[in-house]
Amino acid sequence: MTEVKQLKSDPTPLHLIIEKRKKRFYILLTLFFGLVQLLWVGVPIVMAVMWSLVDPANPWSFPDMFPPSISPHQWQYVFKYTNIARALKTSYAIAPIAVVLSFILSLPTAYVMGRKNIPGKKIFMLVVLLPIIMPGMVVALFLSRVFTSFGLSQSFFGLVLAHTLMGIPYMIRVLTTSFQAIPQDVIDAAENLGATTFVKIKDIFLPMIRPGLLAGMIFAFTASIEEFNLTFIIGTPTFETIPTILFSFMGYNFIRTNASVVALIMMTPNIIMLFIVERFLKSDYLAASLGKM
Amino acid sequence: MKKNKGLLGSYLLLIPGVGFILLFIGSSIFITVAQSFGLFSITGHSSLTLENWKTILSMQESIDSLLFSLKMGVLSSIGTIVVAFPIALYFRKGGVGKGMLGSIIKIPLFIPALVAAFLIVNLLSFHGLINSLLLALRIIKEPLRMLNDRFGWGIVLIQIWKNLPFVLLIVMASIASIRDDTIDAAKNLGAGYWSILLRIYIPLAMPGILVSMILMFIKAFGDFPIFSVAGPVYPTSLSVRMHLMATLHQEWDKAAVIGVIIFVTTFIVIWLYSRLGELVEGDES
Amino acid sequence: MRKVFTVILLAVIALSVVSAAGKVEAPVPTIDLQTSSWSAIVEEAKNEGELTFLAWYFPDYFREAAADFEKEYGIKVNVIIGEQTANFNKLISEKDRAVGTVDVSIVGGQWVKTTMDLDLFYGPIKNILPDADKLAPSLWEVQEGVLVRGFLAPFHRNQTGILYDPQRVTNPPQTFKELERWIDANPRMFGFNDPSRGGSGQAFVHTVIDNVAGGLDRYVGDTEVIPEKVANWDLVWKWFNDRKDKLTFTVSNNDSIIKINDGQMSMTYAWDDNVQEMMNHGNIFTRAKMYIPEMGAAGGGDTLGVLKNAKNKAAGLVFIHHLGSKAQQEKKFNMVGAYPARTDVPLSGTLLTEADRTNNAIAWFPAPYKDFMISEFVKHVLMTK
Repeated sequence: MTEVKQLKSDPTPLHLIIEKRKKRFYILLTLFFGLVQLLWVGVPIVMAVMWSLVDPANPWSFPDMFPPSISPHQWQYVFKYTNIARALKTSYAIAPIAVVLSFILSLPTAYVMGRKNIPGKKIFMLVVLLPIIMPGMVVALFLSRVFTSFGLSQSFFGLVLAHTLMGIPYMIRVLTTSFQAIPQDVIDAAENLGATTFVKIKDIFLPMIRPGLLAGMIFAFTASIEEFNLTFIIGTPTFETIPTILFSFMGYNFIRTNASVVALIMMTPNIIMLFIVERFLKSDYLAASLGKM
Repeated sequence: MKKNKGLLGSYLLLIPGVGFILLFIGSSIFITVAQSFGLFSITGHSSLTLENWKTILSMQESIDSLLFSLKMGVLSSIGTIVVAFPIALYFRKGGVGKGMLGSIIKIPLFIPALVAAFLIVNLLSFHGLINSLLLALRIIKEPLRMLNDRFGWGIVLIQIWKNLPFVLLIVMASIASIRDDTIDAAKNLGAGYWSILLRIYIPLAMPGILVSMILMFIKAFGDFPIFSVAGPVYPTSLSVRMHLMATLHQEWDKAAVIGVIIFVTTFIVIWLYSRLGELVEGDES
Repeated sequence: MRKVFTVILLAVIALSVVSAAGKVEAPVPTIDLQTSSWSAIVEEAKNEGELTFLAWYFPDYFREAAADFEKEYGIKVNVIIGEQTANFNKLISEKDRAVGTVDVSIVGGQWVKTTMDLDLFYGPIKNILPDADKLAPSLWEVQEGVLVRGFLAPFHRNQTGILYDPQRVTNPPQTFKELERWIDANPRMFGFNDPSRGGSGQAFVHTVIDNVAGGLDRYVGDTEVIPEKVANWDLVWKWFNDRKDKLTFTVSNNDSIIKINDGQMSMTYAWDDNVQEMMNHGNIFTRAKMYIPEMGAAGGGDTLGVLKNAKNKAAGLVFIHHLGSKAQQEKKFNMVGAYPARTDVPLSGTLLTEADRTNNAIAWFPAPYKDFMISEFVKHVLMTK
């Protein structure tokens, strides 16, 4: 009894000191890391903002560190002389549908690749990557002919299919990894308890592939928003997407000021959406990361 | 009998994904290969020949482009995973502030490659922020010429900047499936940090690491936009050479040869990466 | 089982191939554009009612021009501003279709040869358009060293020249020797783009060949590269290699201009319309000056063509005529500073003087030599350390 009684003047036990130091270390690490991230991502974007505000009457040249004067001219120019509003609507109409379609088409394939051993599996894994291996412009050249002969040119559905095509490789590959990671004993346990296929899908597969699904959806979404080559050939002139306008200032005819405007317009909805999605799925993420089922 | 039925079922399930892709891309592959041998020529004059292959393979420019693109592909894929993996481990724990941090990290994902290239090039240019700061701090007397370096470090930097969140997401999803009790068990058995890292985290996260390295290689190897902005004057990346061959020199068939080289090389490297991954994964049951 | 599956797989691929490789005949217009009167063509255009126009620059000018056109003729113009490479990729991918989606397109740069070789355009149109003779006559015949035989209507003329920062260059070099001395005195301050990635770099290499390999006259009229005539080009490559560490290579036309703005270079070869556009958007300081040196600089221009598989050929022709009219050419010059193709428009405030254009501008040598020049430059200058 007397050995465990502690005098008030005893020094703090060693393990508590270590715990405190560790915590402080982690907090500092987080802060430092956060700062690095903020700079790493933020600075390039801030520079783009500055370029988008350059006043044509006072160009921003060496050795000025900041533009000598700012003006909304570049923004006005883009909104007046390009169909950016229409392009935004088109891009954001196609993307969600393409993502959903990618998911639906990829799910069965990812399941087979992730959990079954069929002959030729290695070859199929490679085939799945084809749309992104081939250089974009080449694919666009031939693919546009295929699309045209199927009557899919100049049609909204055609564009959705094209974007889906570009998103599927990512979706399949990531979902395959997720399926692979599902422990067999969980499935066996469920089967022993008499679970039907439907229940298996609903209660085991879908929840367990969630982190991978989130990743796949983000990739398919960005693949759709950024898709330019094929979209330009089969979509113009009926449809205009954001990349079309972006590339008119960024490709051969590179005008930094206008390109900055379009790039910022393109980034902003994506970033806002990112924050919203992160909010929503934070709880699921925690559950998944703690290894609980 | 049952095995066959199961197999048929599996094959049927493959149709929406694999079938869809083959239907549309099948022709691109086939025609590109055919064009490299002189058939289906876009100019209308077709004849079966090996000339295109002989010429391209004997041109030093093609070899240089191939090596350059390989270098970019390998360095970018290794670079991003090396930076991403520690960050993924760090995020595994969850916690305060990590949500916001996580979002900020993910921003480059939503920035197209071409835009990312020009943002970074802006930063590194003769008149960019980095030079301005270094000059103001009197660390250098005149601005550094950092752009379009011959080795290609500019490209690698941009690839890592843009694709870090991409690799991070995949690896994080992979690590999420590692159970805490596995880690705890190892700790209880007295395993140190390095041991846990090398023997548990990496092998168990290998599928995710592998997938992200493969996808990263494909992006960097076949890159066109980032090279056009930040790449050296010579050599050009394989995609750029293919483009110039077709549009500048109007040698469409020779361009097709380069196209075939691109996807054959990619397949070979993917196979190599997979074998490497299998080695590291070891016997895992 | 596997055999059946393989067969199905192959069938899918085959279906894909067949649809991608098919060829179809072009439609026949309702009136013969080659023999009809201009008023009949205008009537036909109004019947067609609309057209699609493809370009990759001047969104502001073209949208205004389209609005003016609609007001005057009642024909709607769908203006698409795309990207140079993507535009031509699209035209090429559509070339075997009966009806394409584009009626009129701007043609320029390396794409002149590509598109003419692939026979993408309807023509000749020189004989159909009224006032054709008022548009730069040389450009009707030869563009970028390619024989265009009246298929493409001149739209604007552009010219390369030396762009420099007057704050740093007090005595701009005129002769080739003066340039050599300047480069020696100011290492890395002069640059130009890799010829395979832009016309301004091509123009500079072209000028060097002119000055080092004994003039350009002897190549005129050749339809292919004559080996004896390029035998002494090793002197040209030597000129570049001797100065390699004193020259800056850039990656595009615009990149050269950007590096001037950034202060990394003080002098470069550039296109005048490029520089004007960059100035209009505040991408380069207003004090920048341009001139055509005595050692020469090549020029050219962009043209307009009607696609062979265009749906609205008559409307296309009328639109081309509209863009080539005196009023529009003046408007274009005032709005974006592009030098008119029309020869009867009075001008002031151009980057390059008329005197320079008359005295120092030189013509390109034939396209086969240009192509050869580009690949040889890569081989002998860029590839070597």
